[in-house]
Amino acid sequence: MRHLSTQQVRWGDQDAYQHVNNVAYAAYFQEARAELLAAAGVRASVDARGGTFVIARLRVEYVRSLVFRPAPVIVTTWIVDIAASRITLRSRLDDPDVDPEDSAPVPYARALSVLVPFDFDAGRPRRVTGEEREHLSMFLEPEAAPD
Amino acid sequence: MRRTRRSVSARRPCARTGRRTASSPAADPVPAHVIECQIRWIDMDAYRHVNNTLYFRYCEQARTQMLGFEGSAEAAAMVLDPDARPTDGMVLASIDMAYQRPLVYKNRAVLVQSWVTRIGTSSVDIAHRVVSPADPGPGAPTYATAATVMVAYDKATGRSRPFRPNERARLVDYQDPALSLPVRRVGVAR
Repeated sequence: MRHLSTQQVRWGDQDAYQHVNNVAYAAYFQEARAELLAAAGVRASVDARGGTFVIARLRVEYVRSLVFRPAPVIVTTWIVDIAASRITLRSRLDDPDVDPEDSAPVPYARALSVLVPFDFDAGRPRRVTGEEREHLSMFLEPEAAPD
Repeated sequence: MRRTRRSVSARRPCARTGRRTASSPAADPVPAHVIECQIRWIDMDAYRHVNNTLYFRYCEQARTQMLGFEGSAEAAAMVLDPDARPTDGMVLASIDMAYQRPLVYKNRAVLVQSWVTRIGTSSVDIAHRVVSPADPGPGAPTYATAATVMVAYDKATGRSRPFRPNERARLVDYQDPALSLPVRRVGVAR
């Protein structure tokens, strides 16, 4: 299953080039990841002992220019790999009417994120727990050769 | 080895700090272009560290000054290119950021070091390293590294355009074969 997140494009997300600034895309992908973790029952709160992830890698490909409009955009996010101490996710940013399972439409952007479970008390990365793995598996869509 | 740039006045929140000093060893692989970026308190998120999107912002500011976008300190110091048109721009095609250490407000500032790793007809690969102002040397603690692709862009048509000769000359000036790619390339297809 893929996670769908509706993100409102704000007028202030645009820059002097009169299109949405690259950093706003990173924020849309971030919101979608946080929603996915919450939807999977993995709390993203700093108080959730063992339930926190930090980002280790974020790659964004900007495919098409996005400008402010009333209609929201849809961020589709899914997990391609759950390793011992990291999870890898893919995301894409589309118009609301696009079928996210259909890879043919050209998205506004694509992203690859690597999240690392982090123990804030110890100040270091930790392993993915069995419970997290179980919960996150609902969004797992393994690839033949994950990056 | 490299042409000397005119010094420019400090700007906020990201100030130019100049080029490497003559005291650096010859083999010292410290990138030629560096800016200092002030860390604002609001740059931290609920995890009490600088949010991942801000690393994009710091590197964006470095590219803006390096490429001499309109309004930047570097643009003001640049020799005017008679071939430049008001519609000439540069847009980001991709960025790949590897987060290595958390930053907090107490860091006060970071240095963003930048260098050119490839020059194409209308696109250029620019690498970044985010380090501490206290220790900007080659062995300095690195907070993040990034590989970006920028595309020369015509703001009027919204399409890519080839680099002008003067632009290309500027980019060549920021190449350094001694510096490696900061992150392993990964694809994002799908």
